[in-house]
Amino acid sequence: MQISPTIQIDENYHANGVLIRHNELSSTKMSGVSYTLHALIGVSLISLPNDIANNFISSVEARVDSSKRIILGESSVAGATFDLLKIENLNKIGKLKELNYNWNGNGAEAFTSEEIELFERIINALNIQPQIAPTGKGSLFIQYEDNANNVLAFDVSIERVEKVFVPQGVFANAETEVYTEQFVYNILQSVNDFYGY
Amino acid sequence: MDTNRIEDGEILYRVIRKTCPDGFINGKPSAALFIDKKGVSVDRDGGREERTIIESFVARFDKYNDYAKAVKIEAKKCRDIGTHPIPAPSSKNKYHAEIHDSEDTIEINLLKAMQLAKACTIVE
Repeated sequence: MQISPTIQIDENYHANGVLIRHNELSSTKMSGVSYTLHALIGVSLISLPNDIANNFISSVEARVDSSKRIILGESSVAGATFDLLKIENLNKIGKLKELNYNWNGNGAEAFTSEEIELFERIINALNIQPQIAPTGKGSLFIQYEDNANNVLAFDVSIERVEKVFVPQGVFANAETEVYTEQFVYNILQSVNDFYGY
Repeated sequence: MDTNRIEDGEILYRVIRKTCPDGFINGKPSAALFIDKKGVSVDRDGGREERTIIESFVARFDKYNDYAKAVKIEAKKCRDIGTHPIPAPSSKNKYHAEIHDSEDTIEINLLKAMQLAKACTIVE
């Protein structure tokens, strides 16, 4: 069977016509498994190198970690991972290209190619993926939140990056900072500090 | 309804359109909904019942199948956060208002936008 480098998984867990053994995936006791597979469906197409694609389809050894990353088992490609949230984020950014002037009904400009490229560069650089949402002023809102309600957020635009850290959800103790250069580096450093790396 | 000032007790409603990118994170409003160079566009309650307000949104946006939901926040809460809600009536909508960062600055900063997102509630 010819396997293409892209995989689309439908709601019945068929990938390119080959059934992924859903029951075995469910028995991994990862409550996020079904959700993760649905996330794959939402993303539609996953681009993988041919060898990984072949093994992914034939193997049912997969587990999902708490960050929604599918870790392929040793019988497939040992240790190979693809980050679902990164794929979702890049898809969200890609869709911004489709927005025209006044997309928000309040005169919002279309996103420029420079803005899109900056957002993609940031998301690709991040080992730990954030939640993201575009704003009406053509910037990208980026947010991390941990189990202790600490929040790290950025408002990323071409001209500057605004950073806010809210310790334990207490806005009165929030720390703010503005970067006017080295955006990717500064965001990476902030995220590493946030997670204690 | 005072056309020159939004009373503290008034509720401000912000429409979320289907055609707009999702400004929610984990099902909750995010700061992205409150960041806009031209001010955050809302409708003041102007003494209307919520049901009437939502019906007006549906009539205005759903004819294009573009009404998703709304979020709401009390004007006093906006002022407590340090933002500046002001009337901005138009010929088409006398209830139109905006939330600005302050009296002098239109674009709401990130910290205030995060607080607005935390304080607002989704209209069911």
